[in-house]
Amino acid sequence: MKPTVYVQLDPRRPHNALNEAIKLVATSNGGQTVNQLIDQQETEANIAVVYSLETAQRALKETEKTVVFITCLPSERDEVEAFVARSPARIKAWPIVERRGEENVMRQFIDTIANSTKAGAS
Amino acid sequence: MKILLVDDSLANRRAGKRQLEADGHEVVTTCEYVEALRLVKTETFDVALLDLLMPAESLMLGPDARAEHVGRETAIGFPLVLTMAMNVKFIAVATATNHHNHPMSAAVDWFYGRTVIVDGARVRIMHSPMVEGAKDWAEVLQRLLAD
Repeated sequence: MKPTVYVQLDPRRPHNALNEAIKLVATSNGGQTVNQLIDQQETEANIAVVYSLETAQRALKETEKTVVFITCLPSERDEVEAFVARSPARIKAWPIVERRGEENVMRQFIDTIANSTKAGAS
Repeated sequence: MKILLVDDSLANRRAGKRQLEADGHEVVTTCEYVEALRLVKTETFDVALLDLLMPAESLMLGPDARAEHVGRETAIGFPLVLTMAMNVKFIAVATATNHHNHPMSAAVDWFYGRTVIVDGARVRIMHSPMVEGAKDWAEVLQRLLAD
Protein backbone atom coordinates (compact mmCIF):
# COMPACT_ATOMS: atom_id res chain seq x y z
CA MET A 1 0.00 0.00 0.00
CA LYS A 2 1.37 3.41 -0.97
CA PRO A 3 2.03 5.91 1.81
CA THR A 4 -0.40 8.79 1.72
CA VAL A 5 0.77 12.39 1.55
CA TYR A 6 -1.38 15.41 2.39
CA VAL A 7 -0.06 18.74 1.12
CA GLN A 8 -1.58 22.03 2.25
CA LEU A 9 0.44 25.11 1.43
CA ASP A 10 -1.48 28.37 1.17
CA PRO A 11 -5.10 27.10 1.18
CA ARG A 12 -6.15 30.28 -0.60
CA ARG A 13 -4.29 28.95 -3.64
CA PRO A 14 -4.57 25.17 -3.48
CA HIS A 15 -2.95 24.66 -6.90
CA ASN A 16 0.06 26.91 -6.35
CA ALA A 17 3.31 25.80 -7.94
CA LEU A 18 5.01 24.68 -4.73
CA ASN A 19 1.98 22.59 -3.73
CA GLU A 20 2.02 20.87 -7.10
CA ALA A 21 5.79 20.38 -7.08
CA ILE A 22 5.74 18.66 -3.70
CA LYS A 23 2.87 16.44 -4.78
CA LEU A 24 4.83 15.48 -7.88
CA VAL A 25 7.87 14.56 -5.80
CA ALA A 26 5.63 12.49 -3.53
CA THR A 27 3.99 10.53 -6.34
CA SER A 28 7.27 10.11 -8.20
CA ASN A 29 8.77 8.45 -5.15
CA GLY A 30 6.05 5.96 -4.41
CA GLY A 31 3.55 8.01 -2.46
CA GLN A 32 -0.03 8.91 -3.24
CA THR A 33 -1.56 12.28 -2.48
CA VAL A 34 -4.77 12.71 -0.49
CA ASN A 35 -7.07 15.69 -0.03
CA GLN A 36 -7.62 15.39 3.70
CA LEU A 37 -5.39 14.92 6.68
CA ILE A 38 -7.92 12.49 8.13
CA ASP A 39 -10.56 10.92 5.94
CA GLN A 40 -14.10 9.98 6.87
CA GLN A 41 -12.96 6.54 8.02
CA GLU A 42 -10.60 8.33 10.44
CA THR A 43 -7.58 7.09 8.51
CA GLU A 44 -4.81 9.64 8.84
CA ALA A 45 -2.32 10.54 6.14
CA ASN A 46 1.15 9.07 6.66
CA ILE A 47 2.80 12.37 5.84
CA ALA A 48 1.61 15.98 5.86
CA VAL A 49 3.29 19.07 4.41
CA VAL A 50 1.91 22.31 5.84
CA TYR A 51 2.84 25.96 5.80
CA SER A 52 2.30 27.28 9.34
CA LEU A 53 3.03 26.45 12.94
CA GLU A 54 -0.67 26.62 13.81
CA THR A 55 -1.56 24.08 11.13
CA ALA A 56 1.32 21.85 12.17
CA GLN A 57 0.29 21.99 15.84
CA ARG A 58 -3.25 21.04 14.95
CA ALA A 59 -2.03 18.21 12.71
CA LEU A 60 0.13 16.90 15.53
CA LYS A 61 -2.81 16.86 17.94
CA GLU A 62 -5.36 15.49 15.50
CA THR A 63 -3.26 12.49 14.44
CA GLU A 64 -1.33 9.75 16.14
CA LYS A 65 1.47 8.95 13.72
CA THR A 66 1.45 11.41 10.83
CA VAL A 67 4.88 12.89 10.14
CA VAL A 68 4.46 16.61 9.55
CA PHE A 69 6.77 18.77 7.44
CA ILE A 70 6.49 22.54 8.05
CA THR A 71 7.66 24.82 5.26
CA CYS A 72 9.35 27.96 6.52
CA LEU A 73 11.15 31.04 5.34
CA PRO A 74 14.56 31.90 6.77
CA SER A 75 12.93 34.47 9.08
CA GLU A 76 10.70 31.74 10.57
CA ARG A 77 13.37 29.12 10.95
CA ASP A 78 14.16 29.74 14.65
CA GLU A 79 10.61 29.27 15.87
CA VAL A 80 9.96 26.30 13.59
CA GLU A 81 13.13 24.55 14.66
CA ALA A 82 12.32 25.21 18.33
CA PHE A 83 8.96 23.55 17.76
CA VAL A 84 10.56 20.66 15.88
CA ALA A 85 12.95 20.06 18.79
CA ARG A 86 9.94 19.33 21.02
CA SER A 87 8.58 16.59 18.77
CA PRO A 88 11.47 15.49 16.56
CA ALA A 89 9.96 12.13 15.69
CA ARG A 90 6.88 13.69 14.15
CA ILE A 91 7.78 17.16 12.97
CA LYS A 92 10.38 18.19 10.39
CA ALA A 93 11.31 21.69 9.33
CA TRP A 94 11.21 22.37 5.60
CA PRO A 95 13.19 25.51 4.84
CA ILE A 96 12.12 27.02 1.57
CA VAL A 97 15.75 27.90 1.00
CA GLU A 98 17.28 24.48 0.60
CA ARG A 99 19.94 23.08 2.85
CA ARG A 100 22.76 21.01 1.52
CA GLY A 101 23.93 17.45 1.98
CA GLU A 102 22.46 15.38 4.77
CA GLU A 103 20.22 18.20 5.93
CA ASN A 104 18.56 18.42 2.54
CA VAL A 105 14.90 18.39 3.40
CA MET A 106 13.87 16.92 0.07
CA ARG A 107 16.06 13.92 0.90
CA GLN A 108 14.29 13.61 4.27
CA PHE A 109 10.90 13.84 2.56
CA ILE A 110 11.74 11.08 0.09
CA ASP A 111 13.24 8.91 2.82
CA THR A 112 10.11 9.37 4.94
CA ILE A 113 7.96 8.17 2.04
CA ALA A 114 10.26 5.19 1.53
CA ASN A 115 10.18 4.30 5.24
CA SER A 116 6.39 4.58 5.26
CA THR A 117 6.28 2.16 2.34
CA LYS A 118 8.45 -0.35 4.23
CA ALA A 119 6.37 0.06 7.38
CA GLY A 120 3.20 -0.54 5.41
CA ALA A 121 4.67 -3.61 3.76
CA SER A 122 5.81 -5.22 7.01
CA MET B 1 -25.93 17.35 29.01
CA LYS B 2 -23.87 19.19 26.44
CA ILE B 3 -20.21 18.83 27.31
CA LEU B 4 -17.11 20.57 25.98
CA LEU B 5 -14.00 18.39 26.26
CA VAL B 6 -10.65 20.10 25.80
CA ASP B 7 -7.55 17.92 25.67
CA ASP B 8 -4.51 18.00 23.39
CA SER B 9 -4.25 14.20 23.52
CA LEU B 10 -6.10 12.45 20.72
CA ALA B 11 -6.41 9.28 22.80
CA ASN B 12 -8.02 11.18 25.68
CA ARG B 13 -10.43 13.01 23.39
CA ARG B 14 -11.51 9.78 21.70
CA ALA B 15 -11.89 7.99 25.04
CA GLY B 16 -13.87 10.88 26.53
CA LYS B 17 -16.21 11.11 23.56
CA ARG B 18 -16.84 7.38 23.69
CA GLN B 19 -17.37 7.26 27.47
CA LEU B 20 -19.60 10.31 27.70
CA GLU B 21 -21.72 9.59 24.62
CA ALA B 22 -22.32 6.10 26.00
CA ASP B 23 -23.93 7.84 28.98
CA GLY B 24 -26.15 9.84 26.65
CA HIS B 25 -24.33 13.17 26.67
CA GLU B 26 -23.67 15.39 23.67
CA VAL B 27 -19.90 15.89 23.44
CA VAL B 28 -17.91 18.51 21.55
CA THR B 29 -14.15 18.02 21.60
CA THR B 30 -11.28 20.28 20.71
CA CYS B 31 -7.50 20.06 20.99
CA GLU B 32 -6.93 23.82 21.08
CA TYR B 33 -7.63 26.21 23.92
CA VAL B 34 -8.13 29.11 21.52
CA GLU B 35 -10.87 27.11 19.82
CA ALA B 36 -12.30 26.19 23.24
CA LEU B 37 -12.70 29.84 24.14
CA ARG B 38 -14.44 30.51 20.85
CA LEU B 39 -16.81 27.60 21.43
CA VAL B 40 -17.95 28.67 24.90
CA LYS B 41 -18.77 32.11 23.52
CA THR B 42 -20.76 30.82 20.57
CA GLU B 43 -22.44 27.72 22.02
CA THR B 44 -24.06 26.82 25.33
CA PHE B 45 -22.41 24.07 27.35
CA ASP B 46 -23.55 22.57 30.63
CA VAL B 47 -20.12 21.21 31.51
CA ALA B 48 -16.51 21.83 30.50
CA LEU B 49 -13.92 19.09 31.04
CA LEU B 50 -10.40 20.39 30.61
CA ASP B 51 -6.89 19.09 30.46
CA LEU B 52 -4.45 20.99 32.66
CA LEU B 53 -1.26 20.97 30.56
CA MET B 54 -1.46 21.79 26.88
CA PRO B 55 1.11 23.00 24.36
CA ALA B 56 1.37 26.77 24.00
CA GLU B 57 -0.29 27.72 20.72
CA SER B 58 1.60 29.90 18.29
CA LEU B 59 -1.44 32.14 17.72
CA MET B 60 -1.32 33.20 21.36
CA LEU B 61 2.35 34.10 21.29
CA GLY B 62 4.02 37.24 20.04
CA PRO B 63 6.71 36.79 17.41
CA ASP B 64 9.51 37.25 19.96
CA ALA B 65 8.08 34.55 22.23
CA ARG B 66 7.31 31.88 19.69
CA ALA B 67 10.73 30.30 19.43
CA GLU B 68 10.96 29.92 23.18
CA HIS B 69 7.43 28.81 24.00
CA VAL B 70 5.60 27.32 21.02
CA GLY B 71 4.69 23.72 21.70
CA ARG B 72 5.93 23.86 25.29
CA GLU B 73 3.50 22.37 27.80
CA THR B 74 1.73 25.13 29.71
CA ALA B 75 -0.69 24.93 32.64
CA ILE B 76 -3.44 26.46 30.53
CA GLY B 77 -6.20 24.62 32.41
CA PHE B 78 -6.19 27.09 35.28
CA PRO B 79 -6.68 30.30 33.27
CA LEU B 80 -9.21 28.50 31.08
CA VAL B 81 -11.34 27.99 34.17
CA LEU B 82 -11.28 31.71 34.90
CA THR B 83 -12.22 32.54 31.33
CA MET B 84 -14.98 29.96 31.00
CA ALA B 85 -16.61 30.38 34.43
CA MET B 86 -18.98 33.08 33.23
CA ASN B 87 -20.35 30.80 30.50
CA VAL B 88 -20.17 27.26 31.93
CA LYS B 89 -21.47 26.35 35.37
CA PHE B 90 -19.65 23.06 35.94
CA ILE B 91 -15.96 22.80 35.11
CA ALA B 92 -13.44 20.08 35.84
CA VAL B 93 -9.72 20.15 35.20
CA ALA B 94 -8.10 16.72 35.12
CA THR B 95 -4.43 16.00 34.58
CA ALA B 96 -2.69 12.72 33.94
CA THR B 97 0.70 14.25 34.72
CA ASN B 98 2.35 13.59 38.05
CA HIS B 99 4.89 15.44 40.22
CA HIS B 100 7.79 13.70 38.57
CA ASN B 101 6.93 15.07 35.15
CA HIS B 102 5.76 18.60 35.75
CA PRO B 103 5.87 20.95 38.78
CA MET B 104 2.35 22.27 38.16
CA SER B 105 1.00 18.84 39.00
CA ALA B 106 1.92 19.46 42.65
CA ALA B 107 -0.50 22.41 42.72
CA VAL B 108 -3.32 20.04 41.86
CA ASP B 109 -2.91 18.32 45.25
CA TRP B 110 -4.11 21.44 47.01
CA PHE B 111 -7.49 21.03 45.35
CA TYR B 112 -7.92 17.38 46.38
CA GLY B 113 -11.53 16.80 47.43
CA ARG B 114 -12.43 20.50 47.23
CA THR B 115 -14.99 22.24 45.09
CA VAL B 116 -14.05 25.80 44.26
CA ILE B 117 -16.58 28.40 43.21
CA VAL B 118 -15.40 30.73 40.47
CA ASP B 119 -17.81 33.38 39.24
CA GLY B 120 -20.71 31.12 40.20
CA ALA B 121 -19.25 28.07 38.46
CA ARG B 122 -18.51 24.90 40.44
CA VAL B 123 -14.95 23.81 39.71
CA ARG B 124 -13.09 20.61 40.59
CA ILE B 125 -9.40 20.18 39.85
CA MET B 126 -7.94 16.71 40.11
CA HIS B 127 -5.47 14.08 39.06
CA SER B 128 -7.42 12.18 36.49
CA PRO B 129 -8.68 8.67 37.06
CA MET B 130 -7.49 6.49 34.22
CA VAL B 131 -9.02 3.58 32.36
CA GLU B 132 -7.32 1.51 29.67
CA GLY B 133 -4.49 4.00 29.34
CA ALA B 134 -6.68 7.08 28.85
CA LYS B 135 -8.43 9.51 31.16
CA ASP B 136 -11.71 8.32 32.60
CA TRP B 137 -13.72 11.42 31.79
CA ALA B 138 -16.96 9.76 32.84
CA GLU B 139 -15.54 9.36 36.35
CA VAL B 140 -14.26 12.94 36.25
CA LEU B 141 -17.77 14.11 35.43
CA GLN B 142 -19.23 12.02 38.20
CA ARG B 143 -16.87 13.55 40.75
CA LEU B 144 -17.62 17.04 39.46
CA LEU B 145 -21.37 16.59 39.85
CA ALA B 146 -21.22 14.58 43.07
CA ASP B 147 -21.36 17.52 45.49
